[in-house]
Amino acid sequence: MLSKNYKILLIVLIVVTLISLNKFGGKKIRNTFYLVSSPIQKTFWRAGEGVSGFLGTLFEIKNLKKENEELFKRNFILLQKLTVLHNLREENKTLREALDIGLREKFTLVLTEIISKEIDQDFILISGGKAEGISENMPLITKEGVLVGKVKESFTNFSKVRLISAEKSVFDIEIQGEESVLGIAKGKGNLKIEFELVPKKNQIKEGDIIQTMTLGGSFPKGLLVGEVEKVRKTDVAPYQEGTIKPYFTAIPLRTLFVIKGFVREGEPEVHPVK
Amino acid sequence: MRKYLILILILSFLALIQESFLHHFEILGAVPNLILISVFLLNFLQKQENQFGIFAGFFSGAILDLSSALPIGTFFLTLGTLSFFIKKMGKLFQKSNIFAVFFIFLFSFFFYKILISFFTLSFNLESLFVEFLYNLALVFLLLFLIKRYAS
Repeated sequence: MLSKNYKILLIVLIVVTLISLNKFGGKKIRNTFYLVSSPIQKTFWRAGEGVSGFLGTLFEIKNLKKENEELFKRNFILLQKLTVLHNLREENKTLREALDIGLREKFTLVLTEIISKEIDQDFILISGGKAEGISENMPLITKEGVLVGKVKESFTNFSKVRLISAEKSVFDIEIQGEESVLGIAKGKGNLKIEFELVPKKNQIKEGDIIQTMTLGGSFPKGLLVGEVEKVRKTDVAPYQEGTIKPYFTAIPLRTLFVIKGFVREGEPEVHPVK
Repeated sequence: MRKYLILILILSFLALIQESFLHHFEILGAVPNLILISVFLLNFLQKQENQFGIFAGFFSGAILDLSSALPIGTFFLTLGTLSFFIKKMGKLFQKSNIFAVFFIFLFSFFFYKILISFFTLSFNLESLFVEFLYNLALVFLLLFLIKRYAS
């Protein structure tokens, strides 16, 4: 058994080592660990997707017919909206040409993939880091344009991303129902998101699409977040709130993109960094 | 020495599995915490004087620290301290008693969750109950398998 002095010395040594690791060299050690473990974790992630997909299909067979019918109806509604949008786009193009406005937005994207997700927090590890030009606060999206999260920490070859459902995640949103309504989305942890600060006078209902807004500068405008799952109104509060069904949980997160910057022609490059 | 090397490999493998594979098998947001279960079983089942379980606690904490976004040392200190507590509590209960397993695991689970939430400054009550039951079910299953095939 160690004497009391040795125990105290050991504890002090451990504390000093941990503080030193966090201040100096912690990132390099983590990057090295990810370099070694990422090939194995990627394999496990894909295997997990495959097995859960197969099992999910088995359990969901009886719901497939009903789901198919609902998707068919929704597809038809979306096609109708697409036609209306197409007409509006043509009208918009004509007006812009007439007014000679040349603004366009474009994204600079970096292709990446998911390696793992932390068990106790809504953080994921992606391939790609400072070597690929990825830095803190850059948004992460899927190829469908669905918002996943924001880079929290960037190592040499990997990055940690805070999911939009993480507890400290807060950003501006637009809810597209019969009218467009602005609000705030807040992560609640465990892949759950809620919205709040939506004026009570605005009518929103379950299924309304939610996308990002650029008011706070966190994310570019127009990235899909999810849809309204539940709406909560009380007589006392001037605002309504509710839960969001995030889209990123419904699709396989394999191929992802980090938005390095979004640029409007005619304006200097703006990075969504705060 | 060989025993420690095998333990290192197994714990590393479990840490990688729980962060990459098991997420696809969540139930209401709850995922099995194989590392917590392993640390609990190793410290609960082994004799008091055996330090194997305590080594497992500190080592698995170090592995989780490397793969986490939290400051290095968070899981190392949490799981290391937890190992000591499990060993002490194991003295007070008869290990074949099912209630001993329940209460010591209950303590371990919430001790782990409270310490981690202290570092993350967040505490999510909603999924805690489901997560506890999910992990407890695995603990009982593993204990049953160990008692049936290992003794």
